[in-house]
Amino acid sequence: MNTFKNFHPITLFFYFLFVLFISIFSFNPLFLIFGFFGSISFYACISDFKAVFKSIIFYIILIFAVTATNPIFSHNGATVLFFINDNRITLEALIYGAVLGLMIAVAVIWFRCFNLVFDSEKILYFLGKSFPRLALVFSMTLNFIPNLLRSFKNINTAQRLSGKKNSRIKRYLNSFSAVITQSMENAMITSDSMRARGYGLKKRTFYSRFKFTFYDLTYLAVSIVLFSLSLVGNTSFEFYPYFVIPKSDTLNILSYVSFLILSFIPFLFEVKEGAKWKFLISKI
Amino acid sequence: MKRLIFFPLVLILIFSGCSIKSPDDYYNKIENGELTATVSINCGTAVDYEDSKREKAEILSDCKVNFKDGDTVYDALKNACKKNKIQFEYSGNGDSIYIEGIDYLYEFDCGELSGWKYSVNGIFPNKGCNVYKLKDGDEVDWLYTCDLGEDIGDKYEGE
Amino acid sequence: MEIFNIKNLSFTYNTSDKKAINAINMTVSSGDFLLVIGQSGCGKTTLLKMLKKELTPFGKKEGEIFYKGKNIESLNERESAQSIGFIMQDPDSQIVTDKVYSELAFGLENLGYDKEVIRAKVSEFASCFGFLESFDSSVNKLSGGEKQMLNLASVMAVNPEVIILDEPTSMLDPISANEFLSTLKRINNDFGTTVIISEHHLQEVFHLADRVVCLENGEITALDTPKNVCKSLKGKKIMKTLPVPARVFNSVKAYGECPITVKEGRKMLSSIALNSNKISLNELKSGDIILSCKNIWFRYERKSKDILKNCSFNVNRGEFYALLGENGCGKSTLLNIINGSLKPYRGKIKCNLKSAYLPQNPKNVFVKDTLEQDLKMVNNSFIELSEQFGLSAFLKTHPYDLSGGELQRASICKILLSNPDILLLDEPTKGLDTFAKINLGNFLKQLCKKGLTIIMVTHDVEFSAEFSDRCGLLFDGGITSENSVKNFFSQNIFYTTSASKMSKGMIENAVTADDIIRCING
Repeated sequence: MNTFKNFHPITLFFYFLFVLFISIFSFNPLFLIFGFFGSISFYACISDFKAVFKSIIFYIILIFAVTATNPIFSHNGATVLFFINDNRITLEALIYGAVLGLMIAVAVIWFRCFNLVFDSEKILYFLGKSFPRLALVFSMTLNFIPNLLRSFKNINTAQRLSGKKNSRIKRYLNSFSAVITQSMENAMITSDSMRARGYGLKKRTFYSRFKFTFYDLTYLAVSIVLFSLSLVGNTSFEFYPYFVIPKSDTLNILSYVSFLILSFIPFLFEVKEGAKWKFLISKI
Repeated sequence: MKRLIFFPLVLILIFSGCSIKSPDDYYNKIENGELTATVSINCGTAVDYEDSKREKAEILSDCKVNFKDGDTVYDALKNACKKNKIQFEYSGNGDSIYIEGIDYLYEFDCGELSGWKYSVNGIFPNKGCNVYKLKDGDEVDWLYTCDLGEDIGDKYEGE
Repeated sequence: MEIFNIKNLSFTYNTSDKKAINAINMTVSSGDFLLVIGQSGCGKTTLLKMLKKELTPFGKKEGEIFYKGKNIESLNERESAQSIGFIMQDPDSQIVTDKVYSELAFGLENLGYDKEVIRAKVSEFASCFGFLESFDSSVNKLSGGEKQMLNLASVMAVNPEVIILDEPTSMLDPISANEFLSTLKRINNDFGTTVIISEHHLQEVFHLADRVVCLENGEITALDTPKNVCKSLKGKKIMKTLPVPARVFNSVKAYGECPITVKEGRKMLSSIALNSNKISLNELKSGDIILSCKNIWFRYERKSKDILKNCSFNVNRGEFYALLGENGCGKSTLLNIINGSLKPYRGKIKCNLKSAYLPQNPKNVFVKDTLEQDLKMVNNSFIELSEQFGLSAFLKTHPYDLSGGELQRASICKILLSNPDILLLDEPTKGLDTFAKINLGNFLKQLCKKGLTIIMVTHDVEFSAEFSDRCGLLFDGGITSENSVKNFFSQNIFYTTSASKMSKGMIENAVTADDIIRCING
């Protein structure tokens, strides 16, 4: 189930733009922790749990690796742990590395969510609005590539079993050239089919199944408000030479809360819809 | 599986070339020598720089350090910083050692043209600090510039 | 009302001196279901393509075509795209976009309809043609039959006056083909859309047509209702392609209307005197077992369903074995297990001899620029065999330029060059016309006589009935019935040939039209 996905592409695009912007440019551990849990919980909802569990291990390794490598390259920081070749390894550099690793992990998870939510249809919608022809080419390519791979596989199998023992590389080369010839032949048929159906007439329109509803607008507005609120506080951390946590005044707390909500919106959405379903089913 | 063995091996190789010391070890082992030089570190230009957080221009003034024959400006700086527990960071090795920052003040912290330079007895030798060999009684000044040396009396003449 | 009026139309391709079609005169009225028949190369495709301005091939055209009283040349592109739909043979390559819904919208987008109009029409045609489930899935997930249905739906979405179809079912399995044709008839009945269709295999389409036009060497030899056309084609070569009842009618002394469907055929058969009511069964060849599969179990993934369950069968030396079954019953999988590209997780295959495999698409066998180079690749002494196969004239041709039957023959020639003992064929009759099929069948039989063993996987019951020695039906992962060909088909009720259906209860063991004719004429 993926109900968050059903929002209009514009709404979704801006949502991901906002969370990615803050995750990448804020460099604030608190923001990043919110983002991490928000994104991973959403990711768990839209893909299967096993994959998420495996990927969490990957992210933890990633964070540790970056944490360990940063002090080797950066010797800034007041709290010295030890010296390597007259270069200091500092606590601040370790913390900086951890935050950097977390930032990379969060960005990657958000991108993965983006990939799952933003399927080819939504990308086509963005392209189609301004470049309908480019959108068509994109869509044709999406059809063409799987066809190409399939026919390569078929030809290669046919060659392997046709009796003559060839080296694998030679067979691949032969199959490849045959695939190209075949796909050129097929392209002729495709172009005939396109012309027969009126491609090339003036004023081509673009059809997409999306409708920008009031619901989408509301959600977009909420995202914009939360995003702006996240930026109002003075939330920048200092890492060198001393790790300084910014004072927590009202504005800062407002920023944190806003971003916390913003990060968890997709997850809450999935949970809400899931609960609704269960409720409806129990009523039946 | 191959990678699992390969990875730690590489790490071990890298660290086998390193000497690891605790902070106390590092600061207490000050090399001695018969010759002496005076090292000063000053970042007056950074204090004057717009919305700078630095308040003190003087980081180190007239610190006497001992050195051996053949030691360079870099060795003197290292000894002076060790003695006074001042942080510094360099990059490169051998002849190409370059000082990136002293006392948490780094190059580019005050604009694109900022960084550390040194003068010996008031003259700016345009040489690497690990190339210039010191003589007995030399006065080394490490000065922070925000304008490629213009503001500390070293005219930049380009390549 | 007249839709097309063709006046004295002739066409010569740039590459040849012969007229592809010659002095054709005919009219097509609105709401007609017109069937175009004829041997391969008789000019069917040329004629159909001439009716669609955008697809008219390069060459010299004489005469005129009028669409609703307007010369087709002066028709503007919008009108042409809007009112004349065209569907070709290959289901895959006609599809332009990646998703079902976008393919349905493609024609409407080209014509510049509003988003809301497109939305309404797309949803209407998706439900009408059964694409509700797969509406937003990608077209690659559809089967061949579904793809061709999608082509039909997306052409119908712009609401054309005429749809022209050039052998639309030749790449489909019989069940999908039937479904496609009945949908086409429904469109014709419900919307009054004019249909012009050319087909090779007439059993399922002949009775649907209002009128049939028969072409031979580019000229019209018959143009009438299906029954009258059958009568007028008596004694001609094209007879062989007609539905079985019509063939029987034309070969025996019978009177009245020509029967076309099995039902009419049975009526006719019951009214005439039979010379004998039994066909003697052919003896099973008893050779030594050359290949044996024992209790084979197979699945594609660990957690997926079993495709083959405890499947066992034997093939004897020199036998022509036909393996039949519905789509997705595991026929091709079994063939791939025999040829060694898949491994069963349980069970044993005993086969000490060399086998060669011919894939569904014979084009896939060829990778070089000329047939000669391709044959040389396998074996330098190819001259003799290629002569036997009647390919000497084509050695310098690009393999893709060969006709369906020639290509099939050439591909068999290529894989036989490696001297195999067993030939594995996957749907060898796909896309072939009746005559090419007969040639191929005779040819394969000759190879069997020389000691080659053939295992063929096919949907084509008529072809198996005519040429194979033994048949097996694969169902639910195992071979459920297996017998010599006449026994096999005369025992089946549903999965059998139309000749067997027609003669059931009247003539024992008759499975082909020739069997029936022999029984009547003696």
